[in-house]
Amino acid sequence: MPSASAVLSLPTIPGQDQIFPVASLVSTNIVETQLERRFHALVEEWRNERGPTSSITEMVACPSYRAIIALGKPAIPLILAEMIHRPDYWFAALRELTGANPVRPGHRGDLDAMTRDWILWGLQTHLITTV
Amino acid sequence: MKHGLFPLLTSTNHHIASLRDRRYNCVAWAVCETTRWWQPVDDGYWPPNIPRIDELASYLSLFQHRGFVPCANVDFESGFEKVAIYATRLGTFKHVARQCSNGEWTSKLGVCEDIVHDTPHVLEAGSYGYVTHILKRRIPTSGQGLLSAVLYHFTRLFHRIVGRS
Repeated sequence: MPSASAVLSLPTIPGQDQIFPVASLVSTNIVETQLERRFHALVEEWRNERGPTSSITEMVACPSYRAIIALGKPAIPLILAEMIHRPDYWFAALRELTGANPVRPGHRGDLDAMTRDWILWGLQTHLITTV
Repeated sequence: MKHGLFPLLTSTNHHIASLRDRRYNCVAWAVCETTRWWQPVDDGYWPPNIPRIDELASYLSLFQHRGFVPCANVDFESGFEKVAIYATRLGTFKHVARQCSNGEWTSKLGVCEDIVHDTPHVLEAGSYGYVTHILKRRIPTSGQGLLSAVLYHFTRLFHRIVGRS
C-alpha cells in the first residue's frame, strides 16, 4: 500500500476529476446500500440544482446539499470517497459534520489542495484507505 | 445553457470558449486566474488586504485595489480594460464579466464553462441580476491600445457581415 504522502502528491490529470487512486471505505458495515443510493442521487441533484452560480455560499445553501448534510455522520465517508473521484465543494458539509477543518490557510480557494487536505484527514482518521 | 437562467442569451450573441472547470469562478477569471476560486468566504481565495466579507462592497474594493475606477458605459475604449459587475436589485453580488482586448466580453459561469459574449447585457435579467457597476483601468502596455482598437473594429465588422448572411 502506498504511503499517504505518496498518494497525496499525485498531480491532477487535466480533463479528469480523479486526483487519487481508487479508494475504499474501511467501515463498510456502517454504510448501507440505501444510504449510498440516496447520497449519490442527492449529489447529482445538487450538481444540477446549483447551476452557474458564482458563489460557494449559494451552492451550499441548495436544498440537496442541505439534505446531504442531514444524512448525518454516516455521510462523511461517502463524501470523502466522492471527493477522491470528483473533487468539489464538500468542505462546508465536512466542517459541519465533523467539526474539523484540516484545510491549511494557504490552500483556501484551491480546490485540489483543499481536497488533498481533507483526504489526508480522512486517511489519518481511518475513514478512508487506499487499496 | 438553460434558457431560463439567462433569458437574453442566444446562439448568436455568445459562444462557449472552454471546458467546464470547478476550480475557478468569474472573479478569478476577471483577474485572469484559472487555478483558484476567488470569493471572500471560508473556502475561497481572497487577497489579504481586502475585507473577507461576502458583500458587494468587498468585490468593488478588490477591483479598486487593482486599479479600476468607475466608468460610464461598457463601450470599448482603446487602452483600457473594463469589468462589469452584476448584482441583484437588493445589492447582492452575483457575477463579474471582463472585456477582452478585441472589445468582446468573457465570463466564467460558476462551475461551468467560460463564454465569450457580445455585451455584458446578454447575461442580465436572469441568474446574475443586472449590471450595477462598470469599472475600467488603463492597460499599461503602450502600443497594445491601437492593436486592440483595430481588432475590435475588425471583429465588429466581421460579426455584422456574418449576421447578415
